[in-house]
Amino acid sequence: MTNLMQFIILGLGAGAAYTLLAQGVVLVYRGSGIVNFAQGAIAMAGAYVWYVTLEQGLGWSFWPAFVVGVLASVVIGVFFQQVVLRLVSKTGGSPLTKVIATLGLLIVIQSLIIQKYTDVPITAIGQYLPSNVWHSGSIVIQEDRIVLFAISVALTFVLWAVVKYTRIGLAISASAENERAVATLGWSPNFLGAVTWGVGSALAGAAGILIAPITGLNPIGFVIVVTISGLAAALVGGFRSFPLTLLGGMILGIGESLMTLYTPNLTSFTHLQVVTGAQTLVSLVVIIVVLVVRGQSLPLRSHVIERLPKLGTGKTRWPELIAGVAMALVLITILFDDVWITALSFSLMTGIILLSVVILTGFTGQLSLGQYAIGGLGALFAAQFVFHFHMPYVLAMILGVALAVPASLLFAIPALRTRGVNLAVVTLSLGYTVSQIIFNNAAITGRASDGGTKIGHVNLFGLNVDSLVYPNRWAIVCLVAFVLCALVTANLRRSASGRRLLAVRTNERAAASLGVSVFRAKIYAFGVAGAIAAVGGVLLGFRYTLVSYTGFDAFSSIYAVAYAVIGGVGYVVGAIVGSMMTAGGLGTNLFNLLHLGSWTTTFGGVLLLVLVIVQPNGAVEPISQQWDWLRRKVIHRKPLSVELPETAAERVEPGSLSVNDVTVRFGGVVAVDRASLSVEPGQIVGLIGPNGAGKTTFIDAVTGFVRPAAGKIVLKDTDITSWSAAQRSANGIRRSFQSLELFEDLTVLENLMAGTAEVGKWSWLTDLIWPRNKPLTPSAVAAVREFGLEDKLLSMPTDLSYGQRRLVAIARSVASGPSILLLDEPAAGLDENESRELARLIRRLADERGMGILLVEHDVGLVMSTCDRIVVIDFGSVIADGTPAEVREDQNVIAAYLGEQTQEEVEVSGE
Amino acid sequence: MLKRPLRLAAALTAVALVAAACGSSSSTPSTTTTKLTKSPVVIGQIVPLTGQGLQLTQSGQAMKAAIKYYNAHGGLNGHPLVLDQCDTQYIASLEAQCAQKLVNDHAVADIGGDTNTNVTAVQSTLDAAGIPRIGMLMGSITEYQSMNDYAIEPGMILMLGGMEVELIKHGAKKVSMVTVDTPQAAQLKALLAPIAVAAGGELVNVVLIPGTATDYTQYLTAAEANGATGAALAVGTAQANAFVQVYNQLKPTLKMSASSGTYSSDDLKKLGPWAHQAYYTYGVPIGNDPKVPGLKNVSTVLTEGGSGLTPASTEGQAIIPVMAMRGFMEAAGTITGDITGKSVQAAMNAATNLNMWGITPPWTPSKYISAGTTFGSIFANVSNPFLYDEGWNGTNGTDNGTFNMLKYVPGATVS
Repeated sequence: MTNLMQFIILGLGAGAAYTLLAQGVVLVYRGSGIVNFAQGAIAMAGAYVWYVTLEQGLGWSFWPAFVVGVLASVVIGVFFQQVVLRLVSKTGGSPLTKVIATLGLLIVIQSLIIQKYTDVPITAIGQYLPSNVWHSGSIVIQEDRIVLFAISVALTFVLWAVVKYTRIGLAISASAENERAVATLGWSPNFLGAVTWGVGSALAGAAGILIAPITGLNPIGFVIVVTISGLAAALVGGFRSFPLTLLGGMILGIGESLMTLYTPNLTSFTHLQVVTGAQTLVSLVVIIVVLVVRGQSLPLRSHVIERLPKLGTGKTRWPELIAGVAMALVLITILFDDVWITALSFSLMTGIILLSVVILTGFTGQLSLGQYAIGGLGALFAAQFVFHFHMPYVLAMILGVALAVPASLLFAIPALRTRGVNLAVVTLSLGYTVSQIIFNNAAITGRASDGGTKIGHVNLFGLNVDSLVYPNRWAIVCLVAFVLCALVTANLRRSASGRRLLAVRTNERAAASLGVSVFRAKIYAFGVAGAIAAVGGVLLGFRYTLVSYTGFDAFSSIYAVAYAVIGGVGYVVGAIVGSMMTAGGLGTNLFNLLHLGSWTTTFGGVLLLVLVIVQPNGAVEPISQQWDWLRRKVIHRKPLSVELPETAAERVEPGSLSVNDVTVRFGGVVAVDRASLSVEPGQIVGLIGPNGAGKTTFIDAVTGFVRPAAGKIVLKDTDITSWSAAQRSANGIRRSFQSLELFEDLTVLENLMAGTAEVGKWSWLTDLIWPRNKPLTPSAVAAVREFGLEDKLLSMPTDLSYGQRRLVAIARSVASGPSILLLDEPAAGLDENESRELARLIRRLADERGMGILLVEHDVGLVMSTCDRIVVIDFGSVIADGTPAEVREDQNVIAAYLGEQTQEEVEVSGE
Repeated sequence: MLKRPLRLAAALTAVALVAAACGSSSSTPSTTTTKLTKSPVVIGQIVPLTGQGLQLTQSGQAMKAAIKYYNAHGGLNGHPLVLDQCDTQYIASLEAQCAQKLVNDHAVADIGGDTNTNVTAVQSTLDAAGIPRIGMLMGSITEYQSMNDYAIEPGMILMLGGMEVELIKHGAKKVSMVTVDTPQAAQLKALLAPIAVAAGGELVNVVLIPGTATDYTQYLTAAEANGATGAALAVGTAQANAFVQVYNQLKPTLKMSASSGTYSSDDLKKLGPWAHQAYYTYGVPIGNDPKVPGLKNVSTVLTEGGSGLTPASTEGQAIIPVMAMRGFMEAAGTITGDITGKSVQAAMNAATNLNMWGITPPWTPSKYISAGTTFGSIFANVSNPFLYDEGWNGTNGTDNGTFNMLKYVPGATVS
């Protein structure tokens, strides 16, 4: 018990450290909506300036050095916000781009510190807080840790009070949600951003200085521990609550301390010689628990749709590919010496891992910072087969990749309950835990004395391809592997499976509404990306006779995302371009020629920051555009067009919808109260009511986007109340959205195909090898013709007028020929002529195709003239249900909604 | 595209390039200004000078100084020496590339180097090319077992064992090993426990400190478990500093030992009471130990070579390369034909009782423990098994003599 108490008390110091760092992260997030991955690096910069430059170097006393150290952090943070983030916003960069910019800042700061302070020996940092030691029995209590704890509590309280009770605090929080609204209230968003980042960075600098005496100064360990543990603590606080962040920090600090106490017990329990990295489990468990409790499987209506970097087409340009391979072979066999061949091999191997980032982040929008960990697992599994079972290398490699796929699904699980930056934090922690517990433990990876797994000289199909003995052969192996993985990635992009991923990437809600199982899509993406990362990992591991796992660490995964973004995370070719920047790759060799080899990483970080501003889609995009232009000029290709088959519009499978006493609650608010209605085949039912009456919530409940607290929903005589949104959609009920929610990165044709593609049993595999895109279904063709989209099929939604975009959104819902169609304010934003045309289209869908349609609209004239029946809803309850004439005369309806509108709308509708 | 972002982008890139150009990183052979007219002899050094892990900056400085010194004193029988120093940045792929580079540049030896993340690749490459490794810091079993390696000191594993032995000799019979949480840590208990027993003590704890440790108090507390009376501290400088800070605050009764490879007297002055009570061990003494007059020779080389290091600021990692160059020059000086890797190998194998200024016993590089016993097969080419037992009096190192580590390695014999 004494030991337990001792280690709990010992954990307060670390807990205070995490809290101090995490509160800065929370403040910056509250003020700007960005999770700052560079918070730890900014803290470290302040600490280095304070101690190494000023105190140790120039002999300054504590307080002046402290102030200047904190100011250094402030300068970094404000400069970053004013220069990089503002420009990213101006050039239309997404929140994801901004997070990646913070990764770039982390890389730059860390590498510059390594460069500047490499030659400076850092001595023990004397403690300047009161450092008495108190004894209570055999328990030791350090005064400085208690003081740190007190500071962290006081800081938490101050931040909470400022944000809650001061005008500037409220303005900062509001600015993150809506800058324009805050500007109208007289606050400058730019000023608020500068204050947020300035104060947040000051907190970072102060935290770095306060904790440096207990952590020591080390550019690697410091950044990792504060980044992962600080983010974990902030995650407990939901990146919003300062008190909960304090709680999170303390849980982490005390938890890790107790892990140190119980590590010997863990060692005995596992029968291992030693258990490494046990402390990392604490942050991982905390993160996972938070996600399980808080996560959402589908984003809520309020979820902001993020614009992500642009995508390539995935089209394989065979002449260019063959030329590229030929050039590489010439370099490998003739021009390059062994040093350059090794660098090229390394670029190809890391390029394969970057392809996995293209699939996960580029195609599916999942920001995972664990790809190198998965690559390492592939290497580990393959190496075990060789080491323990003396399996042939080819078979071992294949099995290693295969086993890495289920392992990668571990990383997918958090993605099902969270998204965006939260996912990045989880996967970073997961990857770090894997590297510390598994890769770091030689008792697991191989013989303890080897420090890795001995595999001997690799030979494939009887040919020795040892990278040290035959570097050119190994390079060819890497080239073949890269080309195959690139083709798989390109095939995926062009396939129906890939379109589902893209749909999920762009808009999970819309994807689910079209029958795309978001769950399956994410699992699939992680699985395919995991397999490709494992291929890269196996090659990286097998290039030497001893597989060493030190390269599969957390930072490698961070760099992988950064370099993929540099190359172009939406482009297959972007992977090989980005891989040039990897330390040890071709970029390092080029830098070595200029005697700048150790600056490769710094340059990569700066390049990333520049690109997110001027070229957020990556270096490949302008090259790709110019190349396309040149090809068109040279080859004189005719403009592409899509030929539509001549098919007749078919009647849909008839089915009725019956909604019985459905109630939806959000906390204590009843949004829909025992609402009932029915829609028969070929019938148009209007649903009208004042703003906030619950119309969209009703549609969300019917289509599976919110779960009703009570009631039943029956489709084609089947109770679908417990079905997911994707299930309902796949079984004949489709919807459109008020806010369109098109897949902006897909062409109009691809938007339509996303809603209609049939899923073959083996398409998840065949799409990777030979993507066969089936022609548009007759229903989709009919939708194209009905909505006049024949010459818009290859356009991007952003190139269309608002009215055309509306039509695409509705056509996408109609394309699969649903039995029941729910349209949520389809006429919003249309002019009179467009509204009339839309009304005619809707009527034809019911009359000629036999669809049952539920039409939610504010345009009462449109509703009165188009609908067979109208249901009126107010305060969540149905107050009328009848023919347009009946509803028009209903006193309840007139009082609640129509009022004088009725006469006006009647005149407009011409009745 | 907006014009302002483009200008900014150009400015940021220019700043980065200018900053980079002002930095320095050399990985190509550097030429010397001597009047030596024979063909140059390329000396390689594969060492982490920058990067994210261990940084042996003084080792790099010392090699540069040694090359300059010997070129100013006639080179290698009239051949100028050219240093091919390759910074591995503690990155596995760069370690392998550096080895290949030495092969491409026709280096005759890798002297005073240190590899950590990709030892197998480096060793394989240099062994295959017939390039001997002289005076490298032996940290892995691969290096211990390679007959192409000629180490001046007993290597990492025996040094850790020496830290145990020192504590036990000074009365701390129950020892904790406090070290970094790395893959090699798994083997430590099995290797070090028998050494402690042979010295009359017991290894009671192995405390692993992760590279990302936040508060070191818990590790000090863990080191005191199981009745430990002494703790050997085998971590990097930054972590050691943080651990020492806690030690000075809590003032435990644990006796401490550490390696003097990464401590100079100037470093120890800043470590408070801990530094006075600790014992230090390494294959070479603390840089300004007055009881080891041979250190003056090292100081001469470093000073004349322009390293900027003083005896008080010199760490063991700087002494080793200077001595390695000494051994190389003594052995290779007997070569009459072409100076190649293979002829240097032959010279090292033939050399006996090389004069190492009395800092280590006269050195026979090829002396080794006979294989056949469990430990002997690991430590096959330990040619100098002696470690220093030192203290520190606040100004200088204090030499308490040396001890032969082979005495504590069960089954070890010398042939």
